[in-house]
Amino acid sequence: MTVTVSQAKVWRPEELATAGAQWQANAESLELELSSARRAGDSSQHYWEFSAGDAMRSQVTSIATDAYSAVDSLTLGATALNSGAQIIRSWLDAFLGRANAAEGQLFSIADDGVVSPPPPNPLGGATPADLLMQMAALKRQANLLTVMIQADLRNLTNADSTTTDAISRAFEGIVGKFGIDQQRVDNTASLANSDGTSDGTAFRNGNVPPEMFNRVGAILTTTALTPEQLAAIERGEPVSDLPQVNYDYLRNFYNAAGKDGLIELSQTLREQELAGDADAGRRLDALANGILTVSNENIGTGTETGGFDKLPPDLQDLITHGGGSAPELSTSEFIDRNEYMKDLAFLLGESNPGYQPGTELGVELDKAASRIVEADTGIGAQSIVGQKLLEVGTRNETSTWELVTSPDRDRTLIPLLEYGWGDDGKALGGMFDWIPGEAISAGPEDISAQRAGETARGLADLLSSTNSDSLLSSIDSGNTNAVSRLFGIAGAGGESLGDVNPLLTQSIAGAMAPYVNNMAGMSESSLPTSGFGQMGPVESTRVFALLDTDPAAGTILNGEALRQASAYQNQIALDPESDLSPRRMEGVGRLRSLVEGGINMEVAGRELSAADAEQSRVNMRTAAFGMGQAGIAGACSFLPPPFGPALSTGVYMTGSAIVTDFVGPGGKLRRQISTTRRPHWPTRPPRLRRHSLPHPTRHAVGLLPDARDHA
Amino acid sequence: MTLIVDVAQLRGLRDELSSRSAQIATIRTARAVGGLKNAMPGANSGPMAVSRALLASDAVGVTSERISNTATAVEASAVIYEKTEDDNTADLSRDGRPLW
Repeated sequence: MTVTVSQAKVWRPEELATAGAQWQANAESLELELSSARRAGDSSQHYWEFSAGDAMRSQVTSIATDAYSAVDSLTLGATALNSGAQIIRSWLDAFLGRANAAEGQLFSIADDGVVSPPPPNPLGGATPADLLMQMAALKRQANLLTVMIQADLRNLTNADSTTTDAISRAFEGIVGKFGIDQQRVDNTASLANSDGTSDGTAFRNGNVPPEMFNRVGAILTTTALTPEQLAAIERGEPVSDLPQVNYDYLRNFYNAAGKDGLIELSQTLREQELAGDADAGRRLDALANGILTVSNENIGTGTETGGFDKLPPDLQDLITHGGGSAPELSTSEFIDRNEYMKDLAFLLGESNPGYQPGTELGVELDKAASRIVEADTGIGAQSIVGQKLLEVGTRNETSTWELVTSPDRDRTLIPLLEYGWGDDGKALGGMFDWIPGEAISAGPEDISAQRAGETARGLADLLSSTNSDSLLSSIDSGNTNAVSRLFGIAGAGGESLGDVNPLLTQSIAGAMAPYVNNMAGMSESSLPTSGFGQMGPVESTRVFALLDTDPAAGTILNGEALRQASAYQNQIALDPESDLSPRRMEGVGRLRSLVEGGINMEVAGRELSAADAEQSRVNMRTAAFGMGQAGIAGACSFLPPPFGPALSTGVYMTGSAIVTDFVGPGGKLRRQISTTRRPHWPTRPPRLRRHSLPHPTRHAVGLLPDARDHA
Repeated sequence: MTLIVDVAQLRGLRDELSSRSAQIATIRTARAVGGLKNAMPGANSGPMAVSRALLASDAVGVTSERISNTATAVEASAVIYEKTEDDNTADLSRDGRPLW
């Protein structure tokens, strides 16, 4: 197809030259680095003999040889762009000169190059015959101009075509290498020739032909992040090398399509996937991945980054306000919004796990899940919707940190904690599963550890709060005591957090485990954690008690506390005269008191017979001791479920076998653990008092007098 | 005694390869073509350049990754040599797979 007049008038072939200069610089940089790598490899023969050294050198040579084909392609491509820019510029100058001159003489030029004469000039006493002659002359001139301008347009088209072919040929050498197959070639070509805005608009308007579904789907897969970019996201590092053309297409496509277009596309792709089309499945994933990419403040092109505000406004509005009940909504509007939220949740749920939402989107998805389940008056009908939103929202650790340290914390988390999740709270637990891995601080600059500590502390504060200043949930709205709410969840027959959501409770226990010393009132300056600070005995005991409501969760947390206590005892045994021994002993006492106090408080809340209560306490202590032993053996530590308990099973059994050394005949904790080197107590051993609270919401003041004195 | 493997120099090689890999990863072949899509409406050369810039970007990324992997294997070899009394008998494998 020949270029038109209006198109040619705005051509800027200098852009080709600019890209050519960039490719030339790229080629030179790549060649320089490859030469350095080869030299380094070759020189190794002086200090690395054997066949392994030869294999390494051969490998470096092979990599470089492949990569030199990319150097050649870039060099040839640069030449093609530069010469193309020059040729096109010369033809463009000829065309523009002619066209401008013609238009200066009031000739008009149609888009196809056909020139029309101006009207004859009647001034100067021209007779009708003169005018006719004038018109004939102008017509002849216009015809001549038409021939010349159309020739100019053909020349421009040919020059463009020649340049296009030259660019294509330049890169033939890299096809078949680097994982570049013909499909990849076709898809990048499709992306380069498509406009995100017009494609998105077509989907918003509906009635999209099947071939367009295929083309857009293929383009979306082409914009996938590379494994290196996904690895950087996983490490929490920014990605700033997303090709601008990819980012532009995604942002423009999503914004033009809006929520209606995106939902329609996702539903069609899902139908195709269910019909057995594997490509459709990949395209559906890519559609969801792209939303997360555009939303992510940590992903950009080097000149701009993603963000929640880069998503379509109607999608932002749906995520921010959808899912909950609101007085201004009619029933049909409420249902309509819920349907949209469901569709959106299922779409986002298709995203690959390596993709993370931006921080703001992550927070908003968590909040949306909270609104949805709070308004769920059915029998858990919205559980799957909330789970899918949480599965995506909780991937971003910064989102969790922002949410749990924000004023919205209680209002968002309480409905999530109280809801009877169909997956036992597994998806919600993902909100905290990252904390154990980040909890140990590598130094003052370790922001991840600081945030892990602050998040765990925010959660612990909520779990131990008995009098919130604000509404916690529209369910049982008058009850602002988080502890009592979570020990006896409204609508759950008085069941506790651990009964209703055991997997969530285990995740929380895993998140709290690194901070047992902090909860025992020890100064963080002497601990490897940061951000959590010290916690008082009353609040800490409530947290222990609440997590004891699930046996596995209680075992994780109590086991870690006893492991720490045992470690202190061993240190005392090894160096009883150390100046640190009194503080270590204090630690032993506080940690064991927390375990005992939590167990007592939890058991007291269950209204068991005296015998059953005692048996329950024995069981919990025994399990905790087994976990503590497993931790000492290094089989598990701070691992979230299911890894911790699963890994520790063997050692747990060993620990249980010698548990009588630790738990006495009456099920009480012995004052000393049998070790190969029995600890020597330089001062009085910690007192282990057993108190029971008739109701878990009562203050545990007095429960840990020793710890309170020193907190 | 003849020097067969110098672990310190292996670490130097690893550093050099890692550095080269990181430098290659900064090469942006698609950066300058962003404006080409709209620079010449109706033309095919701009989109072709955009398409090929993306392919070149793939090639650069894969090259960087391959060199990085080589650096990792060099480091693994250095660790094994460090623990081996006789370099001639060093088992240069990881998880049962040969490093080279």
